[in-house]
Amino acid sequence: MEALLPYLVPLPVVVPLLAAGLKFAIGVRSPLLNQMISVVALVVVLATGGALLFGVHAYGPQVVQVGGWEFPIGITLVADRLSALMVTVSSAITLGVLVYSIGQGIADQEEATPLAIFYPTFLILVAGVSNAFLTGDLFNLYVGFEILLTSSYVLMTQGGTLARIRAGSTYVVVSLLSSVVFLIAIALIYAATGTVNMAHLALRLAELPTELQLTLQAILLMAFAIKAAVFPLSAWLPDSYPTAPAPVTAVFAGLLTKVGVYAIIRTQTLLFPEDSVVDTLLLWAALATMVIGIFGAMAQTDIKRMLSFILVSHIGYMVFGIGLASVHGMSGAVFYVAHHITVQTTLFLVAGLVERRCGSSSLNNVSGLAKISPVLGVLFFIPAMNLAGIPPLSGFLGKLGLIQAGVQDGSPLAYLLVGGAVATSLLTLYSIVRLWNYAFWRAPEEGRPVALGTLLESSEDESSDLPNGNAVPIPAGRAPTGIGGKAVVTSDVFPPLMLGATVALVLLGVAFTVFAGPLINYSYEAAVELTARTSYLNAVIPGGAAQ
Amino acid sequence: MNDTPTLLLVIVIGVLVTAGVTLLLERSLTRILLGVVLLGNGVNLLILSAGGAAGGPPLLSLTPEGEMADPLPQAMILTAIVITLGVTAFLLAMAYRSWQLQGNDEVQDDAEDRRIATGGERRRLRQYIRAQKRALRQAIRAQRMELEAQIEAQDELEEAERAILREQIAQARRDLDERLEAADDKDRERIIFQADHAQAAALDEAKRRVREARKELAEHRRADREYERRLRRELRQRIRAQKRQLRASIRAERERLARAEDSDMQGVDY
Repeated sequence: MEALLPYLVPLPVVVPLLAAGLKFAIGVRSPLLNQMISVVALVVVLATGGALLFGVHAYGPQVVQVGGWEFPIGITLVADRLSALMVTVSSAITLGVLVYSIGQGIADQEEATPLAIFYPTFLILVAGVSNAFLTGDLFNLYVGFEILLTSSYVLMTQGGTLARIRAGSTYVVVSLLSSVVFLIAIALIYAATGTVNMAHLALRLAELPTELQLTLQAILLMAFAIKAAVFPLSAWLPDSYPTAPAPVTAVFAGLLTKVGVYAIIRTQTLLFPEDSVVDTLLLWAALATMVIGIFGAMAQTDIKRMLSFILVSHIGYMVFGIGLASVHGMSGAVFYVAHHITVQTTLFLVAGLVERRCGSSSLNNVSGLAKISPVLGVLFFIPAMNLAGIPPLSGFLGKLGLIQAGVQDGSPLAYLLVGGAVATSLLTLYSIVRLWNYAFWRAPEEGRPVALGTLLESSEDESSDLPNGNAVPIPAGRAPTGIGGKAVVTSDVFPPLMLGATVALVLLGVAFTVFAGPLINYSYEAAVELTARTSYLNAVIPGGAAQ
Repeated sequence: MNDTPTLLLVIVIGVLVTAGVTLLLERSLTRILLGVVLLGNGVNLLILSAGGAAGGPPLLSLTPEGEMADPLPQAMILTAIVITLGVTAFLLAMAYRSWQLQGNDEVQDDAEDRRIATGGERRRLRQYIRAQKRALRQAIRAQRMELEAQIEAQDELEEAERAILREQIAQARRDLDERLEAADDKDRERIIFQADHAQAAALDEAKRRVREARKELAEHRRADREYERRLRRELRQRIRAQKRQLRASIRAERERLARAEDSDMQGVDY
């Protein structure tokens, strides 16, 4: 069993890539086969992730030298506790979103052109995310980022409507900038140390002068902070995410920012473990991210935008845990990342269902959902309360862990952050309750619901036969559009696949609460492993870290 | 082996990155694209210079080991070039699509951002309405107070009249008593009879006046109530009209904003 484990490590990257290639080859000829391939590929990834989760827990980090090139020449893939956890959670989420988008594709009758691109691109995105989580090589991390970013460009601008092109432009340019900054950091690190292998770097960076270390660390963190949407670098996120199709926004919100957070964790623990001024800086950034993000959320009237701002705000919690630079802080951050991926994705999927029911995601138009669709109420309520941190849900446990770590740290700044975290949690609850009151508890007549079964003709949809500016109940560009950019058809019966996927993810969120004990233990051990570094270095470097 | 890269390379990197960043700050996608290309090339050269000075091709039989160039940066640059190529193609497609849809490739502001920003205008409107309502309520309160003062003054007047009446009755009774005491028994009966007559007349007169005063008072009160009710109705109507006006202005505002979000008019400044 133990001997087989290393063979599992590359699978989360290889399987989706192969499946994507296969799907491009099949094209639109057999939609059912196409969908089956995607689902099977992601199920394999999920199973691999689960096996790695338990295997790594039992036998320590697993290492693969790609192509058989020996350390430190070749590219290394490493699965330690953190990587295995991230791969498992992310593949569970992507599987849910995939099923949801299949349901949406069937419901919107968009099987043909857009979906033939959507599914393979989605799989490539999964491959990129897995690659970023599993790689033990800084340049390969860059490649992983590029794989997932390039496929995310395609997903974000699917259908090429005006709103998506606009939002996509911001997103692409900002992502490109972060990639360039990352590449500069890699070039400088290579010039300073002569290696890009992360385990090797962990040894060599420590030999550099402190000022140089600080410079390299700052540039790397800058690149990752853009991707993770940490405050001064977070403005792009609420601008670009809400216009994408619901399943795409869901997976972006859940996963892509967390890849950035993961990279920050790796930088702070593996590459630059010494306490420095950067930790203080991270704590301030965390405070600003939490507070300013949630103030943004309070002003929003669109469900997706409000959720995007809450997403930014809650990135602050993870950065808070990382900035504490203690085992407890790191363990809180790891648990919070896993919890937040699930909850945020679920909420965006529910927002997609709201759009399907009401033809809009704006609080001006949505009302009376508690009466119209109680199922939607339940599906929204559980993850929303989880997000706000109501006991006994996992959001509460995650926040409690972080606050305990902050109190344990004991410095005035840590206490300030504890206060900020509590206030942010309260304001999140306020935003959620406001959303709930408007969308669910208001009388149905107060909003401007669209008649069921209507097609919200988007005037920018060039493929439609209707002239532009036809009688549009909702301003053009605001009508929710499906994966291919066509307007969503409203209905009071949700497609079973969409509903099923959402229910499954809600249950996954609840499972985080039910199995919180083992999960917190696991994240604590992951944090111990991260801060100690020895098991990682021993696994990657032949002859051990003493070399 | 000499590890220092040439100065020329460093200067070229500086120029490329400067030009790239400048272009990246533009709104036109084509310029941004050019910026990305320049920036990408600058960073590629940076990676190249990270590998140290130039050397021979890194092939075992061709170059002695000490004179080889570092092959890893070149491999990395190759990867970066491929990625930049793909992204450049994508950006070009996006710029073209943007031009197809709206006739230019400028990146516009987010409509929702603009809407929330102009929400400030709506807030000002609400504040103005609230101030108006407050003024209206104050005026009503003042009017009502004036009314109550009037009623009170009337009441006092009536009270005074009644007191005079009571005084007169008492006076009459006192006169009667005096006369009764002064007269003998024979006269007494006559006086009583006469006095009774006079007194009864006076009493009737007094009662009548009291009754009249009461009626007048009731009339007054009714008129007051009527007035007050009318005043309140007027107030309600005024408030309602103002609210209607407020709603209409908000609706107009919303429509204006909706128009602002319209794709055809996006980018037009108001």
